[in-house]
Amino acid sequence: MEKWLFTPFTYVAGWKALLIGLAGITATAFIGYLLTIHFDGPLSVHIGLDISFYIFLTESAIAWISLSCIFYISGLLLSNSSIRFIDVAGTIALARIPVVLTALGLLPGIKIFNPTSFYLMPVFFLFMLPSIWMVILYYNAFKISCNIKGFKLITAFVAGIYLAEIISKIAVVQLYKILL
Amino acid sequence: MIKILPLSCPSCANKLQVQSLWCERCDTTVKGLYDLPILASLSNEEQNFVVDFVKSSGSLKEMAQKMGLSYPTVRNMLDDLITKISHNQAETK
Repeated sequence: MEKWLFTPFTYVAGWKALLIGLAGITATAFIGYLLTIHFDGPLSVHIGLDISFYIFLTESAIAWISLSCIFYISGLLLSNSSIRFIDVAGTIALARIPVVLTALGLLPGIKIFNPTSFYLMPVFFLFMLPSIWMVILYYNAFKISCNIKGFKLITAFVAGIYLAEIISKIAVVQLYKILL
Repeated sequence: MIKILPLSCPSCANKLQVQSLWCERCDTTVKGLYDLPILASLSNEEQNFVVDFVKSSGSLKEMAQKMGLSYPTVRNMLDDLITKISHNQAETK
């Protein structure tokens, strides 16, 4: 059970993981569209503009693709294994499944999002727990799909998340400039 | 009972070598000092993995299907095994 929760990639990777992950990304974008919440980075969630569903979907896709590309490049540079992009992209897409829970957790949260609210703590946990779970999944996805270990793994993971976050912010700003 | 070939000395943990070989049919014993073959220095699970890999004609996809594991997991197992064999070979030289 624990292995399925935190390292499902031991059993599922490649196209299968990609299809499940893409379904999750689409669902997240749809919930985001309903609530005007933008999942515009590997770790980012923002309340923002009420715009077309396709922009919400593109933002989620940018977050996934930017992290997949950064991790794939890191794997090519640091791993001794012959890694495949489909494994990196598939496992990262699957690792974003907890974002669906974050989105669902925010459904009631938006209505009571008030610092003085008694309900703020449950909202915090509803939001934070899926996020922590997602980071663990990102880490294991990177570890298994790229076969990197030890210090190299931790350094490349932290730097990769940070870099992908910057890249997706730049890409989303460019997207807004083109489409809005 | 399946006997497990000991690979390291129970007393000092040094790598074991072969000193004698015996023919069950004619009771001939050959004495000498031989290194264990590289594959014999792997654990039982690792040896089974190598056998299954050869039986699958070196197809990681087939191995992954048989083992119920994902492709990168099986590839990582193989890469770890390659690293271990290379390390053992370097130690023997």
